[in-house]
This record gives sequence, structure tokens and C-alpha cells, in this order.
Amino acid sequence: MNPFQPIGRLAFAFLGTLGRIVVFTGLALSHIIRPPFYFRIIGRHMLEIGYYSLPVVGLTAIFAGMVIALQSFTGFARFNAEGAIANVVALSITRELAPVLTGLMVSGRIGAAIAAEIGTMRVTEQVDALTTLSTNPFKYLVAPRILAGMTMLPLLVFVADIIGILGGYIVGVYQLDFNPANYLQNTYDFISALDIVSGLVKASVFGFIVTLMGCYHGYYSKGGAQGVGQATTNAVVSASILILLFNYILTGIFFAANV
Amino acid sequence: MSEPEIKIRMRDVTKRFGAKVILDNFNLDVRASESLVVIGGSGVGKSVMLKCILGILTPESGSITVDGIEVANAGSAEHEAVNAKVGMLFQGAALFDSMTIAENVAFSVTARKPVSAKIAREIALMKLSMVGLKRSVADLYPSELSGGMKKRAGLARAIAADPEILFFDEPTTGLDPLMGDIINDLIVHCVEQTGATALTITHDMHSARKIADRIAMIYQGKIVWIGDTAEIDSAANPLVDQFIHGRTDGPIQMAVRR
Repeated sequence: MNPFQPIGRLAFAFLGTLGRIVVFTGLALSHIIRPPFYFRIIGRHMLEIGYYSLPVVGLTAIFAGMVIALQSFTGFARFNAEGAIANVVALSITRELAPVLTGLMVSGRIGAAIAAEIGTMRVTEQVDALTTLSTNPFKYLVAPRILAGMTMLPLLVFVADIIGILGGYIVGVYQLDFNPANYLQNTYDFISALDIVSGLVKASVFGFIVTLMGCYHGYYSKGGAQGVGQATTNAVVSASILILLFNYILTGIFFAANV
Repeated sequence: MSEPEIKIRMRDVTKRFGAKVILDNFNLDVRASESLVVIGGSGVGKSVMLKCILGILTPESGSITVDGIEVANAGSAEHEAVNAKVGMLFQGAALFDSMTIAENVAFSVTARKPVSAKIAREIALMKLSMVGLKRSVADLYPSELSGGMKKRAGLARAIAADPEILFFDEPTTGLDPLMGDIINDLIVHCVEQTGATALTITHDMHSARKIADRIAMIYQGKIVWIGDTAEIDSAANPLVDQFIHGRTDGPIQMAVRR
């Protein structure tokens, strides 16, 4: 056997998948901007993605903020820079931790659910049934979910910013004996609009990635229950990797010029 | 005698999955207002044929026209125009899990006509009663229904928008003989009442004899016999003879992996 055969096969499979994702993304975007719009369905998904993800995102954010405060205290105490803890918590929460952790948590909660739901609809011919009922599956299944993901993730991240900073405040004030007013003033003075906006833009991109991967893997799932299970796993894994990749790219775009 | 009006015409349609040819220069005419049943073994391309007509699958070559509209390799506008005339009962009913039975049936109406939710529900309840489902079933979810009731609900959804064309994909598969016969009767009743053109695919000969005006047999991607239902027992075709009598020995060789 030619040793290059498996490499070639892998390369073709990769390019094929990449091509399918690009076409799928193009179709999804074209249906997001073209009527008809299913407002009731968009609203339902916004509620599912936004409101019902609040507890898990809130818990993640508060513990992240608390851990950052503790860790930076141990580190900064070595060179008497404890005063910078409030700044570090605010910066790391708004720029990185809130968007990335929210993206990853929502990927596990929503991306998996989307892939499982659309995947089940695919293998039970419900997606085909939509087509025979003069309803475009992209418009009815994909576009509302992506739209909801892109709009709800920034809101979730905004809430996570507040709760994460609160977590740092709780540790700083009640465990490390910082002055509450000083802690809040430090946070307020140091944080800039770009820190928050960059996190919200990242969140919107992550919302797009999570819902797109859920829809894509669900839409192309096959082979019954096993196929749906595989689609769910693939949706979460691919969304998580893409979130980390795009986090790097977006951080580069936002902050490379003024590090 | 004048030529019968053709509702669906398939000419030289070829569909492959990889190296495997499923439809091989496939030709079929479905006349207006007739009930045509396509029979054939599992995996011979019956479902693929239906999916090509509906635009769910795209054939590599050939022509498919529905009411003169070309749908093979057509754009979404053509498919939407054709699908607006179509009602389909899927093998597993394919009811939407997230909707109640009434919402499933009403969806078929609201997706095609600008009607209020209230009127759509009234139409749904009427169609559900046409297929023998009580009002109490309307607000249940598909997971709460038996296989036969799901098929009835699927049938109600298929006829809800009064389509010109009805497709039935293995309508009696997975049902006990009594329920199968009830579904057959309902199909005959619905097709007669709506005056629609019906295209059914099945391997259930009892169902085929009951539903069909004409029967066609598909084998190795081609129609190998087509004729009136009454003629099938006297068809001088060894493939048809073997299939309708369910014999294992004959020209049809089933692929069995050992």
C-alpha cells in the first residue's frame, strides 16, 4: 500500500468537512437575514439559551472570580503587589474568563442539546417532513438558534462579568481583608470600555460558534441513536476547540496593537 | 382515446451513492388522480425515488417534472412551488416531537396558507376526526401515542392542506395486520375524498392491492413492470411473480452477508 494514501484520504476528508461547514455557514447566514422570520421560535430559543443558562453561568463566574482573587493574592504577595488584585480580577474576568467560560459552559449545555434535537429530527425524518411542509429547515431550525445564540451570549457574559467581579470582591473583602470601598474604586478606575466590549464581541462570536456547530453536527447526523450521540459529542468538542482558537484570534485583533 | 394527463414524470433519472447506482436511467409516469403503488424489496431505491421528487435528494442526471415544473437540480423556488401541492405520510409518521398532535396538523396549514392559529386548529381537529382520532388526542404529544395513532395523525397532517399530490412511504410497515388494514382503508378514503394523485411505496402486497389503481415494480434501479392492479397476478414477469409470492428462489437475489 502507498504510504501517502491514508494521508491523502485524511486530507480529502478534512477538506470535505471544511467545505461542508463553509457552505452550511453561508446558507445559515443567508437565512438569518432573509424573511420570513419565526419570531416566536427565536424568542423560545433566546429564553432557552439566555434565561435557563443563567444559573450555570452565574456559578461558573462567581467561582472563577473567587479563584482568581485567591491565586493572584498568593502570587502578588511575593512582591507586595496585593493592591493590584482588584484590577487583575476585573481584567481577567471581563476580557477572558467570562466570555471563554460562558462559551464553554453554553457549548456543553446548549450545543449538545441542539445537536441532539436536530439529530433526532434528522434520523426520524422530521427534517424531511419540514421540507415537504414547504418549510425550509435552515430557516426554521438553524437560523433562529444561531440568532438566539449570537444575541444571548453577550447578555450572559455581561451578567458573568458582574458576578465574576462580585466573586473576587467577596474573597478580597471577606477573606483577604481588603477595604470594600478601595476594592470597588480600584475595579472602577482600572476597567475600560474596551475590556467589556471586547468580551461581549467575543461572546457573540462564541454564541455563533456554539449554535452553528450544534446545528451542523445535528443536521448531518446519521445512523440512529449512535449517530445522534456522536453528533452531540462532535458538536461540543468542535465548538470548544473553535472557541479557544477564536479567543486567541480575537484577543490578537483587540489587544495586539495596545498590549 | 385521449392521452391521460401526467402529474409526475421521471425520465432517465440516475442517482448514485458513491459507486452504488440506486436509480439507473429510471422512468416513471404518474397519471393525474390515479393511485400508483411502487413495490420492490428493501434497498432497491423506492424511498430514493420519492426523495428525488421532493427535492430532498438531487439526482445526478435525468428529468423530474411535477405538473410540468422541472424539479431535478432545480432551485428552492421550484421545490417550494411543488411541495406546496404535496402531502406526505412518512414511514415513522415523522411527527414533530415538540408539538402536540393538533399543532402538528395545523402546522401543515399555517406553513402554506396565511390563516389564523384558531382556524388552523379547527381545520386540524376536522382532519383528525376524518382519520378517526378523537378530540382528546389533539392535545397529546406524539410520544404519548401508539404506532397506529401516530400513522393516523401523520395522515391527517398529510391531507390537512388539501394537497393535489399525496405520497405514502411504507404506510403499513410496523403495524399489526388489523391496524394496517385500517390505515389502508383510510388512505383509500382520503384519496377518494380529496381527488388527489397518490404515489405509494411499499413492500406489503396486501396494502398495494387495496390502495392501488396501478402497480409498478422497481428492481435494480429500474421499473421492470407496470400495469393495472388486477393484472399483477397474470403478469408474465418472473421478477413480479417471485416478489408477489414471496419466494426465495428466483431471479431476485437478495444480498445476504454471512
